Amino acid sequence: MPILSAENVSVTYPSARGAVIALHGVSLAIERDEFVVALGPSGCGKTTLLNLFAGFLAPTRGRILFDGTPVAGPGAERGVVFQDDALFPWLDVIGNVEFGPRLKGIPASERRDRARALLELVGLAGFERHPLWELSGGMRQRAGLARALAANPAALLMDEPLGALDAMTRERMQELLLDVWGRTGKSVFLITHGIEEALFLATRLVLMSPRPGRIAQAYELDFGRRYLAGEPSRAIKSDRAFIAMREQILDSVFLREAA
Amino acid sequence: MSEIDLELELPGAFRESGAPRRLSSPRGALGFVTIAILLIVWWVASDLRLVPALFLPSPADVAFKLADVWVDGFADATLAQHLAASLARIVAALVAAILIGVPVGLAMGLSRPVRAIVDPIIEFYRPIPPLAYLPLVIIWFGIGEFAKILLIYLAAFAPIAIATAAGVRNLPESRLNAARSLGATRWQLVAHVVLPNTLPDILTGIRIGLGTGWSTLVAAELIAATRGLGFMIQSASQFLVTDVVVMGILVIAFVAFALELAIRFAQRILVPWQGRG
Repeated sequence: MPILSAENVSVTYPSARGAVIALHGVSLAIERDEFVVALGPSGCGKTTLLNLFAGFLAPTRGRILFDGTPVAGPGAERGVVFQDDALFPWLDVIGNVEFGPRLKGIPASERRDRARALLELVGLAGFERHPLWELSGGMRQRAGLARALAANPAALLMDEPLGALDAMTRERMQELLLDVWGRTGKSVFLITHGIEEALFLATRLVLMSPRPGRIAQAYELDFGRRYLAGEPSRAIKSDRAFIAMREQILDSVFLREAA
Repeated sequence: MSEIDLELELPGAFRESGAPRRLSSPRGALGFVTIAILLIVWWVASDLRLVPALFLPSPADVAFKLADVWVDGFADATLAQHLAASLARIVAALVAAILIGVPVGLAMGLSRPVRAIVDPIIEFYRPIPPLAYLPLVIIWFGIGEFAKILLIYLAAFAPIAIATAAGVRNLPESRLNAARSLGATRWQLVAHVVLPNTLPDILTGIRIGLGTGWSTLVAAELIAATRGLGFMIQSASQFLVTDVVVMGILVIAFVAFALELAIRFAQRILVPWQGRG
C-alpha cells in the first residue's frame, strides 16, 4: 500500500471570472522509501498538490489517502518543509527542532537528545543555541528540515525548499537532502521548478503542466541512488544519461508550450 | 519638510569616498545641540529680564524649586509623593489594560464574530478625547482613585487591543501550517505560535497605550485630584507659582521619556527577533 496517494483529485477555486481549475484529475501514489519530485512551471498546481498531501487544503473531488486512510487535516505523520522556512523566530535553533516533540509532551532530556542528533544529521551541530537571525538561508533550511524530522513523520513534504537559496548552497543542500533521505528512509515528496534538481534527487520524477494543472509524464530515475552509492554529484550531473534526460524533459516542456 | 531633508542628506548619501555615514550619531548630536540652544535662550531671556520672572522663571530658579519641592513638598505633598501617586495610577491602569486588552485583542484576531462585536465599541469611544467623557466618569464613579484609573485604563485599552488583534491577523500562514503539521492542537497553536508571534505587536500597543495613558493621567489630575503631578501644576498655577509649574511640566516630560526608554528596553529584551526574524 502506498504511504501517500492522490486518487483522481481535482481542486477548483472560485474567482471573479468563474471557477479556476488548479488541479484536474490527478492520481499519484508515493510508495515507502520513494523520493518523488514534482517538476513544473508556476501555475501547474504542484504547490496545490503538496498542500493536499499536507492536509492544508481539501480536494474539490477525489480523495487523499495516508496509509490507506483519508486525510482530514494536517498531522505529525506528514512533515512539511517550507520554501520560506516558516521557523519560529522567538525560539533558538534547538528550540525550533524541539517544537513538535514538546507539543507531544515528550520529556525534556529525551527530546533534547533527539534534537541534537537531528541537528548533527543536517550539519548544524554547534548551532543549537544560536538565534535564527544569525543563520544563513541554507542553515535556516537545514533547521527547518531537522524540525520536520523531529516529529518523526512517515512522509516528508518539501515545498521548493531550495528555491530561495543561491546556486552553490543549492548544490550542497541537494546532496544533504539525499544523505538525509538515505539515512532516515523517509518517503519524500518534493516540488521544484529546477530541472537538474529534480533529475538529481528523484527516484520518480512527475512532470506537471498548467491550465489545468495535471500530471503530464512520469520518469523512473536512479541518479540520486548513484550519488548515495558513492558517485560524486558533479560526475552524475555531467553524465551523458543525465544530460540526455534533461534534454528530453526540456523538449517535452517546450513541445507542450508550443502546442 | 521633505525638501529640506533631501538637501541635508543628499551630499552625505552620495559621498564618493570613505565609509558609509552612520545617520544616527550626527542626528543624536544635533538633537542634543537643539536642546542646549533652547536652554541657553531660556537662560538668557530670563537672566536679561526680557520676560518677567512671573511668566518665565530662570532655569536656576526651576532647579532650586525642584530641590525645594523634593525636600519640603508643595500642596501638602513632596515631589516624590506626587510622582508616586501619578505612577501608581498609570501602573494600575496599564496592568488592567494589558490583562484585559491582550486577551480581548487575541479573541478579536482569532474570531470574526468577536471582532464584529467588539470593534464598533472600541472604534466608537477611541476617537473621543478622554477629557470629554471624564465628567461622565466622575458623575458615575465620583472623584476617587477608581474614576481616574478607569479613565487612563480606557485610554490605554484601545491601542493595546487593536495592536494585538492586528498582530494576530498578520501571522504568516506558513508558520501556522508548520505548527499544524507538527501536530499542534488548536489551543497549542494559540499558546505556542499566535501569542509569541504577536508579542512584538502587543509591546507596540503597550508603548502607544502608555503614551496616551500618561497624557490622560496628567489631564485627569488637573481636574480631580488631591495628589499627583497634574494636581501639583494645577494648584501652583492658581497661586501663580510659575517655577513650580515649569518644574512640574519638565518632570512630566522626563517621566514620559523614561517610560518610553523602559518599554524600548523591554522590547529589546523580550522580542530581540523583531525586524530581523
